[in-house]
Formats: sequence, structure tokens, C-alpha cells
Amino acid sequence: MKALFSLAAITFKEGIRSRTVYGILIFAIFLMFLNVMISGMMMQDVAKVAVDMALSSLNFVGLLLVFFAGVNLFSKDIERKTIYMVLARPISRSRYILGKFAGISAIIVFSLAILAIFESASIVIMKNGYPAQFLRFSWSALFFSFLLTLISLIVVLSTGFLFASFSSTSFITLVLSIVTYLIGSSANEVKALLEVPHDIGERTSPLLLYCVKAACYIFPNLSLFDIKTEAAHGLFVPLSYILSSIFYGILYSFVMLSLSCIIFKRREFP
Amino acid sequence: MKRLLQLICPLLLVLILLLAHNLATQMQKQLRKTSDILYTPPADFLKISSLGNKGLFSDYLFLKVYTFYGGTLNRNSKPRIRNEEWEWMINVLHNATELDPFFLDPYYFANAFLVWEAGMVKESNLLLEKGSRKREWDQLLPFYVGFNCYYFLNDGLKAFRFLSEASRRSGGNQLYESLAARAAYNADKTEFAISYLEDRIRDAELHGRKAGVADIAKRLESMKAMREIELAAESYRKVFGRRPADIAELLEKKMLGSMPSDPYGGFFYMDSNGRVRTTSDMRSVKK
Repeated sequence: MKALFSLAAITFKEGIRSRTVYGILIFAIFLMFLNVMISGMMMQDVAKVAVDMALSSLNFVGLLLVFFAGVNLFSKDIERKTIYMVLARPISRSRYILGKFAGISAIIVFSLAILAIFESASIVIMKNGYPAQFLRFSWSALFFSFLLTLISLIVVLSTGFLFASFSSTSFITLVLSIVTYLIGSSANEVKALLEVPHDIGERTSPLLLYCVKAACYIFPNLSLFDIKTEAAHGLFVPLSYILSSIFYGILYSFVMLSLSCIIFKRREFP
Repeated sequence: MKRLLQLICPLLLVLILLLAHNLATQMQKQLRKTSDILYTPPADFLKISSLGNKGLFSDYLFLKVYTFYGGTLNRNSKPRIRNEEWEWMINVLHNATELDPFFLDPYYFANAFLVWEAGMVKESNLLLEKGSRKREWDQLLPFYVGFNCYYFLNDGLKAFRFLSEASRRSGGNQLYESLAARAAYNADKTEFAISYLEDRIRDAELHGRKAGVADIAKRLESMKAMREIELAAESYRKVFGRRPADIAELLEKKMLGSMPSDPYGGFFYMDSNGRVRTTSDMRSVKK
């Protein structure tokens, strides 16, 4: 367990040293001003646009971190063969994966926390400027949306780990992770789009419908973590929904990490 | 010489770059002027391609319409905005509200500009009805729909439905209540107006609200008086097989016991279509 924590701490420090966080900080300040500027252009729904901007920028920065800092940090270890230095020590491959995952997750949580503080500051500025437009605004809804966005990023990261466990280059890992994200966040919409004509009796290819349904189960259903609309309009989201989404996210990540560990254990390095 | 070249070359390069940029932007302006592509992808495609950022896409679409409209303010052409441009705007607003049906600004814009400037009342009302269904807490959107139905489309019954909904959501806004009753009356549904006003009074009593109750009661009294005359006219038609010429005929044939008084100080009469009206038009008459 100690080795796992040490590995996580080293990965975290490595991530911080890569100056990603400084980039995030600059980006966060820029986004804060952009949020104030754009939401101020609206006619009525200033609060909704401010929250939309805050949550979408959090999602966007989080994805950049997952794809370019997170997945790379693991797969580059394999590509550059620096992994040999770690594996030569008395540490199991599973612990190595879990330690790396914990460290990268910590970087994402830390960076997004910084971004969330700046985005919340932009919302406070707008709230003070337009108090009448923020009557339905809810900090708790915003917080839960932040939380679910974070969980969805960790789920995407876990799929990246699965790909890195068997792929030979970081580029393949990156491409597969991006594809997973694209399918995961749109599969539910595609399924809904195909089911509507099917439900009213129009012909839809059963094979296509079956494939999309299968994709919804195989790939992470990222739409479950999307409560941005509810947060933007201060709509009620049951706690049971939030808890079930978190449970799904944790379980999916657990499955992905378990598979990564199994594959990585059997992998032979040249 | 070499030093001079080292200084001039970068400056020359920057100059060429600026010229190239200006040329390209001019060409782009020409391209936009001639092609004027007014296209918006289908809402379903936007839903999928937004990748979980439907709210942000919706904001972008609205801003696109908003800035387009703003850009037309400098135009000197007549009409300032062409019909296909208005249609494009409503399509984009429709897409924006498909992505985020709770977003108020597209509805607000549609009511402010598409209804009043483009005269696209029916199209805008479809959009506003969607907003009214989704934004269950909002009193403004059903009011807009009701007002448009009443003022532009002359659809009193639908106006009554939406105005009474606006009144319910506002917790008894007097303007909405008064308009709803008037709309029902104009739709030849005085009994709707009466039951609605009675319901408003009951609701006010239930919630201990006193403000505006006297006004509602006055309107109710007037409506009841008109309904009494309407019923008498209906009985007259059944008996004599024709409409009465005026209220005096109803009194003369004992179909109406006495001439009801208008609480607003006016006099009831029958118009050429046989509808009962009042000279006060349900507004206090100065004597």
C-alpha cells in the first residue's frame, strides 16, 4: 500500500512539474474573463449562460488534461521505456497501474479545483452584477455538476489506462481514448434518435439499433454525468440520481482498471 | 548591406502578411455577400455533435441570431431583413431551444422581434408554447402566447387558456387575470370568464390575498350581468325562432326580468351580431 501511495505521489509531482497546472491557471483566468464577457451579452438568461460556460470550460480543460497529460504520463512511460526502472523494483504491475491512476486522478482533481474556483468567481461577479437573473441559481446544483464532470473524466482516464495497457504507442492510446469519449458522450443521443422512428413503427435497421445499444453498454455512458442543463437552470436533481451515477462511474472505472491490470500483468516488454 | 537586409526583410514580410490578410478578409466579405448561406444543421445532429455541451451550443446558436440581427441594423436596404433571413432566425432559435428548452433568451427574442417586427406570430407562438411547457415556473411565456393569440390571432379561447395559466403561475397577477377574462368574453365564452374569475376570488380568499379582489369582483359582476342577458336572448331565440333586435325586446317579452346594471357605469347593448356588450367596455366610466 505504501508503494502505491509513493507511486501516486511521484506521479502527482511529475504532473505538477510538467507545468500543466500553470497552463491551467492562465487558462482559468482567461476563461473567467471570457465567461463574464459572454454571459453579460445575453438578454435575460445571464445565469444560465454563466453556468454553461463554467461547466463546459471545466469539461474541456479536464479532457485536455486526461488526453494530453493523463494518458500520456502512463503510455509515455512504456514508450520511453522508463517503466523498466519502476518494474525492476519490488512493486507489482497492478500496483504500478493503480498508483499511476491515483496520481493522475489527483492531478486532474487538483487542476479542476483551481479552475472551479476561478469559474465560481466569475459566477459570483455576474451574480452581483445581475442579482435578478440569478433567482433560480443553486450552488449545490453547480457543485454536483462539477462533481459528476470530474467523475466522467476519471472514467475516460480509466479507459485510457486500458488502452495504454496493451497498445505500443502513446498515439494509439490517445486516439482510442478520444474515440471512446466521442462514442460515450453521443451514444445515448444516437440511441434516442434511432429509437424514436422505431417506436412509431418506421423501419430502422435492427442491426444498427442493436450495435448502438451494445455500444451504450460497452462504452462508458457519459451522458449520465451530464447535469449541466439542470445546474444552469437550477432544476431539481434527485440525490439518488447523483449517487447512482457516481456508483456507475466508480464501478466502470474499477472494471477498466481491473482489465488494465490483467492485460498489463501478461504483457511482455522487449 | 547584410544588416540592412536583415532589418528590411522581416519588415517586408510583415507588410506582405498584412496585405495578404486584408485581401483575404475582403474576399471573404465578398463571398458572404454573394452566397449568403443561411443554413443551420438539424437539431438532432447538433444534439449528437455537442458531446454533452448542449447548453453551450444553445448559447452559441442564440448569439449567432442575436449578432446577425444586430448586424442588420446598419442596413439601408428595404426590407431591412429578408423573409428567408427571418425564417433562418426562427430555425436557429428552434434548434437552440431543442438543445436547451429551458433557455429563456431565444423565446424572449422571438417574441420581441419575430412577432412584432417580422409578423411571424404563429411560428413564434409555436416556439413560445414549447417554452411555456418546459419552463413550468415562468409566467412570462404563457403571457406572451396568450397575448399574441388575443391581440394578433384573435383566438380568444387559446388566449384565455394561456393567460389564465400565466395568472396561475404568477399567483394572481391582476393584469393577466383581467386579460384572461376579457379574452374568454371576446371568444364568446362568458361562462368561462365567470368561472375563471370566481376561481380567482376563491384562490385569493384561500391565500388571504386582498389586493385586486375588489376589481375582480367588479368584473365578475359585469360578466354575470352580461351572461344573464345572453341566456335571456338564447331563450328568446328558442321561443321565437329568431334573435332579439335589442335588450328592450327581451324586457318587453318578459324574457328578462329587469335591465341589469353595469358596475362600471356603462349600459348593456346588443351589437349587430347579437353579442351582448357594454358601453363601458369593462373600464370605469367617468361621469
